[in-house]
Amino acid sequence: MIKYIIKRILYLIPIMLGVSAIIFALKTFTPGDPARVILGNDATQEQVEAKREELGLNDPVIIQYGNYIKGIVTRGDFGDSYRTGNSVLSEILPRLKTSGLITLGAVAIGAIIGIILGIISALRKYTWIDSLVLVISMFFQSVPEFVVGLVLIFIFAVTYHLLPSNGIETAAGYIMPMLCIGLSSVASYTRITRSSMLEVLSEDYIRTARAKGQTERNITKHHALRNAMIPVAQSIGTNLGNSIGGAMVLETVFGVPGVGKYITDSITQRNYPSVLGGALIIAIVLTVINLLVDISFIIIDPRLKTTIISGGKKKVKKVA
Amino acid sequence: MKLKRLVSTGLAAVMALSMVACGGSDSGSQNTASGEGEKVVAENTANTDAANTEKTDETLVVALASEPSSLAPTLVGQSENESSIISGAMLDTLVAQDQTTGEIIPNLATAWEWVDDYRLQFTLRDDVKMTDGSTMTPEDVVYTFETLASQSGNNDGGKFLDPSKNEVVDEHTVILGFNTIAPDIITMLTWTPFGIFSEEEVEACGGYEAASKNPVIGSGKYKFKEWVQGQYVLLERNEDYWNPDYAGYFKEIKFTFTQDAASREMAVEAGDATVAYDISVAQASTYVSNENVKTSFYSFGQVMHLWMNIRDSKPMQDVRVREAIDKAFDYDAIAAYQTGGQGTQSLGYIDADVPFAVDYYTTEERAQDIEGAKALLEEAGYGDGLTITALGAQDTEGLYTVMQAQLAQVGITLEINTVDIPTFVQGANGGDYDVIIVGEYLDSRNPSAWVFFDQESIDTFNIGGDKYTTPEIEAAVEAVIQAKDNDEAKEKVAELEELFKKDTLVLNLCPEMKAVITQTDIKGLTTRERGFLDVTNFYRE
Repeated sequence: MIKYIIKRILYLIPIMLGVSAIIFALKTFTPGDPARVILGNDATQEQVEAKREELGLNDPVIIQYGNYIKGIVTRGDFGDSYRTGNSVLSEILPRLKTSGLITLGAVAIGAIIGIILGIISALRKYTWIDSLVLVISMFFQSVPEFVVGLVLIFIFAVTYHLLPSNGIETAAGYIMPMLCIGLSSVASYTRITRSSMLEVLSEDYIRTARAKGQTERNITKHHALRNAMIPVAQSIGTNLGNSIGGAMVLETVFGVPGVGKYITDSITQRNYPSVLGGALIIAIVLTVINLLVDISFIIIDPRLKTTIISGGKKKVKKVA
Repeated sequence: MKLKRLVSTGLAAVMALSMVACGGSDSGSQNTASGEGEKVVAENTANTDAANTEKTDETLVVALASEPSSLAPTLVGQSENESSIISGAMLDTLVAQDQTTGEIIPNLATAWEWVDDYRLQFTLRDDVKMTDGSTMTPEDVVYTFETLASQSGNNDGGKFLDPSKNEVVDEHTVILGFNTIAPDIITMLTWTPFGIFSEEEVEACGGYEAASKNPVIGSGKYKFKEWVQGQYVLLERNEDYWNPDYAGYFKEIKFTFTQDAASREMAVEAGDATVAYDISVAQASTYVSNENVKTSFYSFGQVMHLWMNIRDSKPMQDVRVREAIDKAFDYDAIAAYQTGGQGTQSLGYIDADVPFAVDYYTTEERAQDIEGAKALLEEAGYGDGLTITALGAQDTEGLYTVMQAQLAQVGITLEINTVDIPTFVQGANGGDYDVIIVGEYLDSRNPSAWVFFDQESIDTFNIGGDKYTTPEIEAAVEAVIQAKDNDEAKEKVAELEELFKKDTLVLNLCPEMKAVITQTDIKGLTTRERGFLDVTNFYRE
């Protein structure tokens, strides 16, 4: 197990190299001079050139890339923001905490609602309740998140004054962003829970339990639900990544100082250290999340230990 | 059958949800229908309402689009709209400008006079308290202008300062030097970047960089209190402000940052914000009928122009093509679109409200002439059609679309290249376009506003692209800047307009406008240079 964890952590190296190489390549081809952005539009070309030299932007891209990676590896230095002069890491960490809280809350909301709806849907399969559940969950998946966001602001802030329209000065400020992202993932949890439940409910051991006279409630609670949750747990891991993406859009609607808004603003400002740092830190976080999710699978279903750790390869015993 | 059931159930759900969403917004439409009147006002006047004498414990919440990188940008050589708005409340300038008459009025200085063409002498007030409680001195003024020259020499007017000519005459008198002859340069000193601070204040903050983030500096109407990065900036009323006539209705001013304009408007509607700034005119027009908020539009001395790339674009080098574009335009329709129906077409290069502006064109001569445009294109060899490229950022995309439809009528295909700001700046500087829309702020004759026509600036860099200029145009611009007064300037502007007109170098479109959404009982909307919000004058009815 420890060997597996170390192996997965080592996967971070090619991932980080890949992400940073792609962003460096984009930086080369994207128009817009960071030195010009920093100095403003009135700066002379000489001043811009001097700034480019100071930032190392006149070096060959491969040298810039090498210096950047060296900084991370040797000093844990993700560079300084062109815009503020602060360390990128110091700017990203508090924002990562904000985005992380929203993402976790959103996944919790989406999973709880989705699982409940999925169970109802499976237990009432092929009835109008089943159809209604699917339509409602599909609706929230189909409508763009920023539209749902604006509708939520209209209902909860403008009309009923229950929640703040933007900002996270109070805990209440987190509710709408969480709800908005969470609702968009309800459909996927509902469908996975429904199909998983239907599959489990048709297993032989469920039939045996029924034959032994157990109530439907007991069968659902003690036999079906736990086994049906394995694919749901897997999708929670995947959704964590998607929700971070969703948070990026919604941070601009709800005025949330998260890592997504930080990266999108940095792209507009050609603030490449911040873009790179943000992307790399997100890559690290997602890799760690995926690792934790895999470990959680093993805890939920120890049978998966062999599959996950061996990467699905079965050992074939040699017969003498 | 199951599918049918599913679809109908789905539609019912969608309709139910839509009705919930539309139910609220309907209230605005109902108010319009009830004939209670539109809430459009064009305010750009000084806050002289006698009712504004009260001090309260309320907080004014101003929703801005983005968070600045510093709060005293001139200390670190930066220039951002949001920081100009925030620092404008903390830093007071030597002189101010009456927003109604345009007249320069006393502020930290009670009197001023030109010593010679390059030196301006100011008599300072003796009762101005800085944030650290000390009294403002001539040394503070000199320090401020030296800092501007060293830190922001490339920004705004910093490049026109000559610190070597600065001089402290006595304890209430100071002389400031400039490196160019410009009688109206004093207008530049009303701008926020020229707000006065002291060396002691900056040092107490820990130097320029620290002071730009934690600006306990200045002598303005409000003082810096707190900046929670990513969330808000908080200012508090300066109880030691020198002017007893200023009330300062709000105890605190809080700036929040939400990029989405609809969210900022809804924050006002929800009562979470008092003012939402930087709403596009097109979007603000949709809020006019909403009785829950007050929508205000204002112009600020900036005219939108269409420049044609005579240097790099072969078709644009032909005056017949430029004239054909001019004739193809319906300027009334362009102005109506761009100003949301609030403004009319610009008949001169400079905004009509500016004291030295000249309406050099008539609406008759600028009337749309489709056949005339076609004939000119035919004559220029483009009878079979012509394709040209327009470069713009998001804010001009709609206007280009209007132009695209008008140009199509004469056989010109306009390809619109909408890019983000850094790409726009690079493309404009590189001449990567045939036509480009640029708004130019020329409400005074201070030279920083006129660098567009300076060949040296054009050769190095110029936002909005390389303007076409000639020694003749440069001389005409210099004559405008150096004119003794507005009457003389008017004559010189007419000469400049003639140079533009004779070769159809630039097409004047319409005044640029801004919109602000406020709570309905909020009064005192005033602006500073370039239409920046002056947050210090708001109060409740």
